[in-house]
Amino acid sequence: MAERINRDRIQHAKGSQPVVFESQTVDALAAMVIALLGEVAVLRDRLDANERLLEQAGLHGPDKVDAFQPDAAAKAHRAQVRNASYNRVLGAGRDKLVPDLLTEQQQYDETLSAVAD
Amino acid sequence: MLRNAPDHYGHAVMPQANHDEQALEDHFLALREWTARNLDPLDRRLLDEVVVPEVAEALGRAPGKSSEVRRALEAEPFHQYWLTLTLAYQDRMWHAIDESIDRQYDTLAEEVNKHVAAPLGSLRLAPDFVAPRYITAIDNHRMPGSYMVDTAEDDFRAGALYDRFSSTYLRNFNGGWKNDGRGHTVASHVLDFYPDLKPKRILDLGCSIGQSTVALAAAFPEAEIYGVDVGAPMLRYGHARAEALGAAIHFSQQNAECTDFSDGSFDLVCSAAVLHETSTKAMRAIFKESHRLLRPGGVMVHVDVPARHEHLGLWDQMRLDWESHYNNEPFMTVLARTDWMEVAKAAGFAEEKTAVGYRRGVRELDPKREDFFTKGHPEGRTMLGSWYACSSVKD
Repeated sequence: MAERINRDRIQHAKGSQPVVFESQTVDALAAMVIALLGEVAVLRDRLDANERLLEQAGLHGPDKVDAFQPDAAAKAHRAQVRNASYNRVLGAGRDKLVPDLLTEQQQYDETLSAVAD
Repeated sequence: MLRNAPDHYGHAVMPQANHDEQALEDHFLALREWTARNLDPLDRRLLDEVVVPEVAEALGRAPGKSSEVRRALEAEPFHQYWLTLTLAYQDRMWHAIDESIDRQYDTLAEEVNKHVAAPLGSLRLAPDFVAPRYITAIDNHRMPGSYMVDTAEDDFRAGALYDRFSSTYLRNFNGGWKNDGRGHTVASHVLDFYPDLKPKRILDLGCSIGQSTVALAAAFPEAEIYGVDVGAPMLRYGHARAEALGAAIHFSQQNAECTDFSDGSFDLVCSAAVLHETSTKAMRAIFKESHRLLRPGGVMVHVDVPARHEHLGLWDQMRLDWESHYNNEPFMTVLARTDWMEVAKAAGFAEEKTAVGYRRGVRELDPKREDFFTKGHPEGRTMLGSWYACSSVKD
């Protein structure tokens, strides 16, 4: 096994480090969203590979997946999974933006100041 | 685990991609193509229809150059989105390929060693080599570590990374996995303009991993071929790559501005897409060095990126500026404004023997005069698929 060196040096390209949106935080968020798109694209390609390999092995292929009709139990299961996923992804945005929470946070900050006084 | 060839994709020392690595690479290309197809036209309209009128009103005249609209355009959220996607591709693609190289590093090291065991060509490294500042100060085109950083003893990572990135980046524009279109373009230009040259010794300045150099070797099978570059890991990989492709090339680690070859020792001195990664002073020095290295009657050919400032509309100027502002290619916009004829004359070449203009890129040898032209695009677009070229004969 080759011993690798200078790993820190190749973590980032030296040179221009622009902040494109209002702040580095917004840029970081955008970078994560774009990176997630890549993860989903790879995952989809991998599912596609799986279906095609299964078809080659005499099992179901992409066409059968396309034509698949989930029964009531499968639909219920999917609804549950989907809802949990929305809670995780969209809930993260809701929790940041919901005005009540902002009010609560303001009250909390006020309490903090009062305690400090 | 291999892409599509029975033994390997491309040549024997090229990094291979497993399923997910290839899917991620495909995603990056699709992301770039999506941006070009869906956002570029709108970003053009944003500039022409929204930003230009605003700036014109403030200036009391129409803006004539991209620097006059930069601030206003970069304040537009849509353009910020365009910038974000453009940067995401250019920045993250390197990391994706780097991870893939990490996975197969030891296998690739074996392939590199195997192919240089009984070489047709040679490799001469300079352990005390000091690279010019335009190379060490930044990582060109956001390539982490750029050309010089060794990540192991006898490292080849930078070369492997560059090989995968460059062939994916340019795809069919420049010869697919060989990425050798510029080499064929230089050779076609030589055979078109100087059919009687019959070069015996050829030097490729800033040869990188020898993608163009291998094409030159194929075009001039009787010639001895030399390539110089600054990066040791690039040259170690390029040497193995050339051997894997059966090309006898003599690589050495040198600065193209001041090589250790004798005066008049070459018949053809060339470079391909090197100048834009140098500087004003270095470009002049490279032309002078070309002149010194040529025998009387010898030929110089330099080709580089096709952007010419005087031929570009505002959006294409901005796209070119992006390279300098954000893609760590600081000299690119200056090169697009540089009078190459003047540089050639200052280096000792006669004006009447010097040709400057666009050369249409070819993927195999095709020396025809209609591929050389001097007019820019009628709508002020960058002449993608062509290269800007300067050639001359030493008196």
